[in-house]
Amino acid sequence: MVTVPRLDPVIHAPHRLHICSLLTPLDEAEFQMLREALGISDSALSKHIKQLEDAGYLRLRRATLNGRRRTWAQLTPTGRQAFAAHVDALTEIASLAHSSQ
Amino acid sequence: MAIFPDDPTPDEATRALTSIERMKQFGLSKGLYSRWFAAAVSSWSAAMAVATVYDGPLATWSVATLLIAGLMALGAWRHRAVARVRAVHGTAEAFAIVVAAPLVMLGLGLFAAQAFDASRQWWIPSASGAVAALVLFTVLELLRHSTRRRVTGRPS
Repeated sequence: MVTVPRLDPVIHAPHRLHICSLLTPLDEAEFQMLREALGISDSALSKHIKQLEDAGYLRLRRATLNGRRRTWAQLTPTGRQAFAAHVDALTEIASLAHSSQ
Repeated sequence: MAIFPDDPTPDEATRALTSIERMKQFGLSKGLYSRWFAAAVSSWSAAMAVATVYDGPLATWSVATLLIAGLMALGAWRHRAVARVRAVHGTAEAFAIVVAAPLVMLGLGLFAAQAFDASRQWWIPSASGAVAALVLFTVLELLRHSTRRRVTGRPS
């Protein structure tokens, strides 16, 4: 019997998967950069970020510099672990194609 | 944008992994300094080295102006940054950044200044600037490549 690897439902949604992918190599990224990279509206991005925040995968930092308010997002250690596990699960599923050939 | 089903097939999982890799590369390109940035910092260090070693009538002003201009440019660059890359350096790299590179630059500057004082050869300040730029550019490029390799598992 083949055990199907478990995917994280919080991360698996395409936009949240892309948010986590973008943030993986980074310490933090500005909200605006994420919005432009994903090509979605502020409200849609906020919704996805909120879901990641609620799961404890992401945290926000607000900073004001020269009167300009900026919001930075970063993955938490839990978020990094969950994302790594999710990528492992995807890799395992992808490898099934090779093993079945 | 691709939709990844709850129970993806191997092909869908492969597509998701490709998409993850693409986004990682994009994030890294936003967070990591470019080769042009490394070249600009190296040119600045060359100008600093030449001005310091040359020790002409306006040397102090030149060094002070270059220093202030450099700090302002760095501040502007940080202000414009939209992402900050994760620092994932090993012990050897951290040692190279914090101790070895500044010591090499300082040693080079002192040696060149003494050599110029003793001989007044015109090419010594220029040569020290060229060496400083080369050392810094090499260190910055090595760091850029190793950071990219560590984060994505790929060379740049």
